[in-house]
Amino acid sequence: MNTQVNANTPIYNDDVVRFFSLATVFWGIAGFAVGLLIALQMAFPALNFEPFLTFGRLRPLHTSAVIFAFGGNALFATSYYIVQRTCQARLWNDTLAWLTFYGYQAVILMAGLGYIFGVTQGKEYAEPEWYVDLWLTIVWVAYLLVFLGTLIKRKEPHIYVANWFFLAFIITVAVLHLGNGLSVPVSLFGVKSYTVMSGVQSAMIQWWYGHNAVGFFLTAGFLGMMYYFIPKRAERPVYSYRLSILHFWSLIFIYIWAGPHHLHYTALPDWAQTLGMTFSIMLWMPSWGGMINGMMTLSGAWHKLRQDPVLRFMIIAVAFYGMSTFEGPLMSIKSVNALSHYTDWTIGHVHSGALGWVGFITFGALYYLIPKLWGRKEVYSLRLVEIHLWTATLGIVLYIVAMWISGIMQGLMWRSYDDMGFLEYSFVETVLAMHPYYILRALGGALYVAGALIMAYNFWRTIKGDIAQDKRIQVQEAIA
Amino acid sequence: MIDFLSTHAGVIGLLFFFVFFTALVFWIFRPGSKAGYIAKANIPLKEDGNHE
Repeated sequence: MNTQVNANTPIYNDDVVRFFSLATVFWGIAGFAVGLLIALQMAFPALNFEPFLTFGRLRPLHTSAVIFAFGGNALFATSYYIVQRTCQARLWNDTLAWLTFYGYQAVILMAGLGYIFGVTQGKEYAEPEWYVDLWLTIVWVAYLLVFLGTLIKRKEPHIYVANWFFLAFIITVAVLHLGNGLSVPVSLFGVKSYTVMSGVQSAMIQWWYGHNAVGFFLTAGFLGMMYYFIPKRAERPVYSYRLSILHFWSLIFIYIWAGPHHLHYTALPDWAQTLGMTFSIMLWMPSWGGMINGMMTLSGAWHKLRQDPVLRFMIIAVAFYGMSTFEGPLMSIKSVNALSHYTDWTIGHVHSGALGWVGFITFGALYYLIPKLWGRKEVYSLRLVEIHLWTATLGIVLYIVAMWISGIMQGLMWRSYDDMGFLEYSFVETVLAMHPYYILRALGGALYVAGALIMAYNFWRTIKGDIAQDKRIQVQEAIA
Repeated sequence: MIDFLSTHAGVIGLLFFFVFFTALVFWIFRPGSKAGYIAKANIPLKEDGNHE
């Protein structure tokens, strides 16, 4: 495989990557902060301010802000950065690339303002109404064109595996969005619409969308980051390129069938539930394949983990990827699901994936990217990176342990009967029992927000060009 | 045709996935492919500066 590298390196479009990176930090803090607020609302209902700032309206604001605003901007930033480097080609069309930036921020603002004012389709993770859906479709097609156009004009003959994951994410999210977004507006100038499907078909389409939003938005795209930034930061090639191919195809082919596990013991036909459960269990294959590949990339360079907190962010992220994608198939087993479904266990599971995997791989990528993009040698202070790392890790541990205990307790309380065959606990008794864990969860969330604020400060100083006087920097230079 | 497919959907699905993944494993371990994969694994480590 011979690569022609030009005598002069191409000039990439990094401006748009800079904007997306800063938007990632901004929306991340906003999304985490709203998450903290709604966690406190669960513990202290007096914090609900009617009608705009109630849990029901802020919850979709939180989920959309962290998934689509924080995660989405991170995916745009890193996919644009990575596709240019691994293709040795500038982004295909500057105008379209900028359209994706401003267009996507407009989607976020329209969706978020809608939730606060009560404009929603009521479909989880697909709450925006029809006009936002249409605008997002335009932005997304532009994204696909920019990405594909860059791939087509690449100078590197092979399409690197990270780009496969990004392309699969872009295409699948487009298909999911179009399928689940099918709706008929009530009037031309009104915001309200109704979905085309109804009943159990509507539920199945919704969870086909919902679960693959996790599988392709929060997993495939972020695996693209893993396959670039871990080798880059560790200065080691991918552990096994063969395994990455197997990882890719098994993830792509299996994830798409797992949605029905959200509908166990519902009106959905039993065979479809079993199908969803079976494919969910098969997801252990890409889960472990990916985790092994990410971690083993450090083979021969394990010592770097001791010295480099940025690399530690990435490896802890991969550990959380392995853990939460082990837990997920377990929870999809019908008999486990009978206990776990509708309880806080699910919330804990989602957050070990979201805070641990998605959050940490993004923080790792940003700590690598921001100094590169602004022409700095390293971030302002690696000491602060380390403080962020431990603050956030402690936050996640508090969060998921609290939710495990509260979720399993809640599930057990719901299914307890007394001698006479009556339910042993009323609903409000389960809520009272969960109160201490809700406070613990909010504490974990507060630590996570605090870590993100430390990161923002670190980036502000990095962009200003400051260098902290700490010993870590010298260690880094000695390694480099 | 559609009747045949829906009656045997389970077996057809099983065969499709089994054949695809078996073929994939044989493909990635085909003789003489090792050097190419090592080179591909090194793509991210190439020069990435944004200046001439």
